Amino acid sequence: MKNSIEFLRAGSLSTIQDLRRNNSRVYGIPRSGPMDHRSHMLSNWLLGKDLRSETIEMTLIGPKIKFNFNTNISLCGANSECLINNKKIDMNKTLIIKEGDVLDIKKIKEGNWIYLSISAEIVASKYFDSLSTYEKSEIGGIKGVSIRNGDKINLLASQDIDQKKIPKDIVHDFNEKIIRVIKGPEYYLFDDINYFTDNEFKISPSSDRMGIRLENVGNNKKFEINLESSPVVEGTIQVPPDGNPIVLMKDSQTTGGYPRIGIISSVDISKISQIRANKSVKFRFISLDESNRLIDYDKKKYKSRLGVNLVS
Amino acid sequence: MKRDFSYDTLGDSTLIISTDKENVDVIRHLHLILSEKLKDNIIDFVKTPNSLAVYIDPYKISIKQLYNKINTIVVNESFDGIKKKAKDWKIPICYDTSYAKDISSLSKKLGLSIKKIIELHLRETYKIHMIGFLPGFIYLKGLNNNLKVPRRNTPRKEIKAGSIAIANDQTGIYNINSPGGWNIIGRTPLSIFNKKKNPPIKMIEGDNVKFYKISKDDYLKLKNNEK
Repeated sequence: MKNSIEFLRAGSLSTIQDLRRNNSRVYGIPRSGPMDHRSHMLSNWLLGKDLRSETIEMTLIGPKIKFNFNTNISLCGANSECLINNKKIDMNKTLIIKEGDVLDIKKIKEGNWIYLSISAEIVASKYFDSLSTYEKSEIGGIKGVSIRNGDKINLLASQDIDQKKIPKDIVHDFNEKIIRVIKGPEYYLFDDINYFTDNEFKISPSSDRMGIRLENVGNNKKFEINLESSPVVEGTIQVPPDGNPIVLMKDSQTTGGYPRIGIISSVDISKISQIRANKSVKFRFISLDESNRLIDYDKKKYKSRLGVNLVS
Repeated sequence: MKRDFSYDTLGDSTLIISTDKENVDVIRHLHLILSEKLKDNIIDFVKTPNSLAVYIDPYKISIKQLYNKINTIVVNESFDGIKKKAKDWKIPICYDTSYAKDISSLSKKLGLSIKKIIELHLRETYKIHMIGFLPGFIYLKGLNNNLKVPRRNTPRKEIKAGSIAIANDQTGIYNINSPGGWNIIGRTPLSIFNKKKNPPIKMIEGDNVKFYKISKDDYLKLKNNEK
């Protein structure tokens, strides 16, 4: 019998994501991938997998999954109540699964996105070398869309692995709200830059995998700037004329015409992805050099704590 | 010939290489060379008529290291450009108000009748400026001066695939259902972006596009044939 898992409950938005889509932006196709790529990588690390490998990304209400083979799994990211056969289990460590076990991801308590890695390769549709689901064009994943109730997913042979735990100091801190930003190409067009650093911005519930929409808590300010569309990248903070910034995320467009006031440092993208709707963020501008130093520090920290390079 | 490019950064993971003036052939050439020579370091590219955005994982290679590698390649390479003969595309468009959500408000804003807007939009031959934004979105240059209008203040959450819109000096085609901030004036029944084909879109930058008007009945017939 083939290895498979069955979704007894699909959850609010469960999708297959990896870090393998390259060279698709030329056609306007986003790279997609896990919103919190850091937690995605950690869940793969726990199983000794290539950090880019596919995981199942879940949010809000997680899925209920039945396993029909013996394997190992791991869960990282948003702090959630997780059960195996109705017994509470810990996140951030390798877990043993026996044939017939049912994993139930209950309500998420902190953060937005939780990742399930399985010690076996998922069979799904590949697009530009990647299994990442991009629903708008219906590519990757299972028929290009999020997992539905009753879906069965096949997997290749399960690997035997060592049991591991994520060191405490590396587990996501959900209390941070300072987001470090590098000046964007249109930074100089904003005559009142303090508006962005003095105010806190609330995460709007209408945020999605394409972008995190922000609302100013205090005085809303309008910006009337018309530009030619130009390239953008995840972490780009665009400011439409209504003054409510949009942080572009994994399914974001490849080009855009709203002024790019800043780009979030690569070290803080995972952080902002996990901040919940109606909570607030505060921006702090840093230089490119400072961002590079933070990346170097981060790389060394993970290398010493986990023994791997956090490379996608 | 050797070329001087200028370099800018977009955050810590994107390098923008620009030519001093628009030259799609040279950008195409640069894209080809870099995607061959630095394929292990580069995740992706976005082309514009005067620039190439190069995307990296800054945990693998820093922007500075990437710049040094590219600079070494660029100084030793001759960039004569890769020329491609421009193709002419004819695209049907239906301006029925059920598809042209913004045409009535534009008529007021621009002080032009709907008929005049349609006439001016049909009159011009457009050049594909770039492809991007979302899968298969086509930016077209050459919009009539009288149709110039800014983007909407707040982008719409969903625009239907095939929608044809205007903003500033451009007209564009949305080829998948998506959010967007342009003013919608019509819709085409053609599926220009086909994910099952490689490449998923046949049109390339520099090609010419001309629209021709169809009725709602024709739209529905053609749409049915596309399925």
